[in-house]
Amino acid sequence: MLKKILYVTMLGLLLTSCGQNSTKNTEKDLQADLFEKMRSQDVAEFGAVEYTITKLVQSRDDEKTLWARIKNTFGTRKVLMRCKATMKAGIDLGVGNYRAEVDNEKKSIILSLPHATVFSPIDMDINDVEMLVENKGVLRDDFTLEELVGFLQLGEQQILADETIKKNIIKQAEETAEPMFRALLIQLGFETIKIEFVNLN
Amino acid sequence: MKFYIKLILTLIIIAVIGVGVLYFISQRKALDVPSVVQTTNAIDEIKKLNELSTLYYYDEKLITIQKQKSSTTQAAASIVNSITDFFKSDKSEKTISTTNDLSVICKVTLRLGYKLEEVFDSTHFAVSNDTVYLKLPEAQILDTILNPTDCTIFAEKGNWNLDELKTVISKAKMEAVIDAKNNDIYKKAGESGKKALEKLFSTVGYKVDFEDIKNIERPSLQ
Repeated sequence: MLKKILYVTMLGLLLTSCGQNSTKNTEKDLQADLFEKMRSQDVAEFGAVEYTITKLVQSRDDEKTLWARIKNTFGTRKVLMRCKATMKAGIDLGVGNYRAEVDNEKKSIILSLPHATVFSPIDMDINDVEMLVENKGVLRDDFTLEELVGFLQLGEQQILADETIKKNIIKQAEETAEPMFRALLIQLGFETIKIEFVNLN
Repeated sequence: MKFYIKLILTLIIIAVIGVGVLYFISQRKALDVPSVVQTTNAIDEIKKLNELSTLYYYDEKLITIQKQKSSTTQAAASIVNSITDFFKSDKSEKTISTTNDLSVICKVTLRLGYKLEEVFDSTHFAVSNDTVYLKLPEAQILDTILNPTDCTIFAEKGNWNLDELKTVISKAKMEAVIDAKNNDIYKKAGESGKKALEKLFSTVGYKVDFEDIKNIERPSLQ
C-alpha cells in the first residue's frame, strides 16, 4: 500500500516537472519563431469614410467564484480607460469584382461596383488611451500591463462587434464613393453615368 | 499496524488539503480572465476620405525595455549576487537581476497607398482619346496600426504602467516603418497601385500610360 502511494506521488512529481519543461520549451520556440516574418499583401481599397469612435473601457471585478469573493472582501480593483479607434470603409476592388458596360458613341457607362466594406483592421492606438480611474483596495495587487491590455482587447472586440456602427459606415461609404467614382468618370469624358452597388461575388 | 493507519490517515489529509489548494488555484486562474462592462461606442467624428490603399505590410517585433529596480531591492540583490558569485565559475551571470524587464510582442500593420486628390490633379493626371496619362506620386504610409489585440505581453517583471507601454508601442511602430523602408515597400505599393488603376481604367475602356505627363505633348484634362 505504502509502495503504491509512493509510486503515485513520484508519478505526480514526474508529470509536474514534465509540464514545466514543456512550458519553457514553448516560450523558447515562440521566441525563436517570432521575428523576421515580414510579408505584404496587394490590395485596391478606395477609402470613402472614416469614423472616429470613442469608448470607455471599464473593468469588472469577478464575483462568480469563491476565490474572487474572498479577494473582493479585501477591497475591489477598478480601472476606467478612454480609448479612441478609427474605422475606415470604402470599396474594395482588390479581387477585380466589378464590371462596366460602356457605350462609346453615347458616351455612357454603367459601372457596377461591389458593396462597401469595413476595412480591416480598425486602428485603435494604445498611445491614445487615457487612464481615467485606477484604484484598488490596500491589500490588492496593482493592475499588470497584461491585465490592462486584456481589458483594451475586450474593448476593441466590442467595437468590432457593433453591427449598428458597421451598417452606418457601410451605407455612408457607398453614398460617398458614388460621387467619387462619378467625378473620375466625368474626367474620362463620360456624359451619362450610372453607378450601382451590387453583389458581384 | 497502528503506525501504518496513522500514516495512511496523514496522507489522506495531505491529499485533501492538496485538492483544496488546487481548487483555489484554479479559482484564482478563473479570476485572472479579464472582464469588462459593455459600454457605448460613441462616434466622435465622421470624415470623408479620398484615398486608395494599395498594399498592406505586416511586421512583428519583440520590444524589450528595462528599468532599474528600487534602490533597496538593488542593494539586496547585489549582496545576494556577491555571495553567490563566490561559488560560481561564471560570474557574469547574476543570480538576481537588478533590473525589471518588459517584453512585448507587437504585430504592426502598415497601410500604404495614395491620397486620391494628389493622384487625380492636373499635374499627375490627364486624358487624351482612349489613354489615361498618369504620373503616380510616391506611395505613402496611410496608417500605422498596432491594436491591443496585436499586442502580447511576453514578459513582465516588476511594476509597469500604461505610459511605459506607450513607449514600447511607439518604438515598435517606428521600427516597423524603418523595416518597411528597407524592404522597398513604397516601390511595392506603387507597383500594386499601378496594377489596380490599370485594371480599373481598362474596365471602363481606357489604356494607361504611367509616364511623366509633363513630357507628353497632347494631354489635356477634359
